[in-house]
Amino acid sequence: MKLKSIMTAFASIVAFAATTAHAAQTTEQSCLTQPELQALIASIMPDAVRGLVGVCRPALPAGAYLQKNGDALIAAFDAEARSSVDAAGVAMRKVAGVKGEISAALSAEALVKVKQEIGVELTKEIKPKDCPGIDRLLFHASALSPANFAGLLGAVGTIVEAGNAEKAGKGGKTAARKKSSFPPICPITFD
Amino acid sequence: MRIPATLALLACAMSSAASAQSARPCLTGNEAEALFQVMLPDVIREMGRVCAALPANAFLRQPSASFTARINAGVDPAIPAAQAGIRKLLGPDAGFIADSQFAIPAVRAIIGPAIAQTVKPADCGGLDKIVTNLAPLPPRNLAAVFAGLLQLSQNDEKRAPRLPICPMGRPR
Repeated sequence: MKLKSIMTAFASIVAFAATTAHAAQTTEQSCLTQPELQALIASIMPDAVRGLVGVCRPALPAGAYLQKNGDALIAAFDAEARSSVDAAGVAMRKVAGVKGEISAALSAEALVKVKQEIGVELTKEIKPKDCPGIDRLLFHASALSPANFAGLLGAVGTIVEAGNAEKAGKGGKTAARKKSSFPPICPITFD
Repeated sequence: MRIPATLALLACAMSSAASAQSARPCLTGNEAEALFQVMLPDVIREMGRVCAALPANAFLRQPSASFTARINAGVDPAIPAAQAGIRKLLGPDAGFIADSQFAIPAVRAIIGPAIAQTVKPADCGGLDKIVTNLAPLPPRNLAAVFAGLLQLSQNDEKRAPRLPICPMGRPR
């Protein structure tokens, strides 16, 4: 598994689902704030972890963290996802680039697609040989709250996305980058 | 800084002394994590210095006293495993250096700041959020997460120096 490809796949899935739901809408994109990105990640984490557990359980020994704690982990992320649903909807509307009441329903539809797709995509991206390392990482990060975990992934994603944008610019792909349906991530603020 | 580049610097610095070796043994998860654990205080402090443009309330600029005390307290318990890791990286001819009382201070004084120097100012905000979110972890776990991220990010940088970490076993 590659860290970059996981984060890039995540961005692509979100963008794809959003544009599918809103193809006919007039777009008006703005950037995603860290709290919005965190909420978006929190909302898809339960399905992401379900996908991860599905791939890794058969590959891990009985004493592994995910074997013993996978279900509890999913439950914890489920609770966080429920508390993030409103903020995730706002984030999804930004991803889709639409405003207004009608977009709230469409963004919910898009979010469902994202949640379905992310599990499928993870099962493609994660190889069983990666599972012991991921299991160890999750074991050591298990003291983090789901909110901290989502915040951590958001920050890693921000740096990875900045690196991708920089490379795209250097490679003369700035125009392609500008056409991306995934809105840029806002500069991090310290309120 | 990009995450893989920064983490790979550790591999570069540690592997240069052993570059003539035809085959180096790999670091166990414990050893890799211990190396990060002994360097954490220096890396965090130096990142704060490199990221001086962050607002004063940013975590890296002003880590909490409890966080600083925890990562400082995490250094001594990690020294034996870190020395074992350094011994492996240096190889049989130079491995004795790892047992010197100067080995760990040298690693801390040289590599910690060197890692921080690879930080790109544009990434300071993201790094600050990463450290802020990881800060509740005990130092052992914090170091292990860094080591885990290193192992995953090494897969992204095929041409970068690689820290030879053994395939990970299951968590203890």
